Amino acid sequence: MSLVEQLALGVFLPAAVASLVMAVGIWRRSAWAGALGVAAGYVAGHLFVQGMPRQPPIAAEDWLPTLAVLGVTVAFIDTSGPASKFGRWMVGLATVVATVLLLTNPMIVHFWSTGVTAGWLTGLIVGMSMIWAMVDATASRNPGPLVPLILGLLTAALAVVQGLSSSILLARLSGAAAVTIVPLTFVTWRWPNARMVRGVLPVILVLYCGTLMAGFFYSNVSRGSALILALAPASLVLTRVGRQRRVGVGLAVVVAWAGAVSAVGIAVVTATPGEF
Amino acid sequence: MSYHRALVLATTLASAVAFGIAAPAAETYTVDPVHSWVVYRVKHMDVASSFGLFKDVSGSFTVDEAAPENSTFAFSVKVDSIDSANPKRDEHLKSPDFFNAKQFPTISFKSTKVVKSPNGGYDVVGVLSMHGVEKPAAIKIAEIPRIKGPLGGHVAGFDTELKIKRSDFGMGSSVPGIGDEVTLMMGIEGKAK
Repeated sequence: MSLVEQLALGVFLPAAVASLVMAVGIWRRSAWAGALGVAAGYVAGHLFVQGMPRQPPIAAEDWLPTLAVLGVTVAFIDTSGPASKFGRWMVGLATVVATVLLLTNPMIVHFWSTGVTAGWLTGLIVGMSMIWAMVDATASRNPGPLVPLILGLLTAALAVVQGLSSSILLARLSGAAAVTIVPLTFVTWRWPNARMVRGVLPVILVLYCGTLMAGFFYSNVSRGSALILALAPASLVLTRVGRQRRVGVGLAVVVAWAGAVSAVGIAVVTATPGEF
Repeated sequence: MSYHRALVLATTLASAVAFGIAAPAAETYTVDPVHSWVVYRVKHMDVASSFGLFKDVSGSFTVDEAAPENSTFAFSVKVDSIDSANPKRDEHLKSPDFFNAKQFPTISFKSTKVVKSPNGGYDVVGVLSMHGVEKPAAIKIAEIPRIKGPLGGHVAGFDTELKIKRSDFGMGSSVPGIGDEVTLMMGIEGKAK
């Protein structure tokens, strides 16, 4: 299979699987269909790119499919019976902690001292939890395609940054995550559903933050690009700005777009593209 | 020659024959990183070979000519020391696309069985650890010359090579554009402790 065919199938396969699962979910009126669709699409894309990882995985990024499936449990809690806020946040926090620990484990084992480990773990867990809380609050007020659109845009930008930063592999994994958000954006545009959007967030954020961490720690994603991409989801907070909601929504889209372009721009400037 | 001197000479010769003067006792050598080389060769686009080396080599080996089964070979390279004569390519090689150097910082070989080869030299069977995967590997060492070092002690070394399939180690990215078969050519020199 040529490289072009591999890239094309790497985009088509996760998008097709995600669309199929979401279509079945919508037909069955299941709000968790968004989360399951994104997770299933990503798992298909990951397996296509990487093959079946050994169990337990030996490379940090090979934990991402497992973590994505773990993220789906939050959506199940949201949609099964009376929602337990405490249970939801505990499962979500466990997903965040597991993502940070598994993605940084090689750094902890080979490079970081105890103090550095404590600093990084605290920062990453708090940071990722805050991003989740911020985006979740926005999603509860915006059941439509806004949140998936912005997260999809940023994930696509991350894929471009990864490709410019020495890792085609991580670019393809981020790309697989990005294309699964396309059918989600369509579904939430056609059938706005706050529970679906909130339920899918842990899955998207696990993939987004996980591939971003892998790119920063194990490839050559620059500090500038990584910082902008880490902070960019916070642009959704701007949806609360302005007397009319539309002003804030427009501002959030513009800022997120600017963040994505800036991150890609920095990656272009500091690029170390593969040159075998 | 006095009777006493003749007796000493005869005893010495008898001891030499009994204990094998041609086979020195087992001696352990520490790999000399300045004079040891691990060079790789891989096909690019199936037209020509691409070469590179790992600059940080370490390890030790013990040679027991009298009892080869007691010989051991253990050496490793730091993946981060890879040098392909192109810094951008080095960065790419260290990324998760290939060696994933941060997650798997060393490549190592450790012998598990050493036998005297029927053609002379040694057949060494061991385990090659790379990219988080361990696989059995075998190398042939034609000879291990051993000389007195200029600063005392002994210096010994050997040349060998090992062919592997990188996809066996979970490094199948860009096959076949970049060949699957990689030849590791090693020139290892050690100093006796």
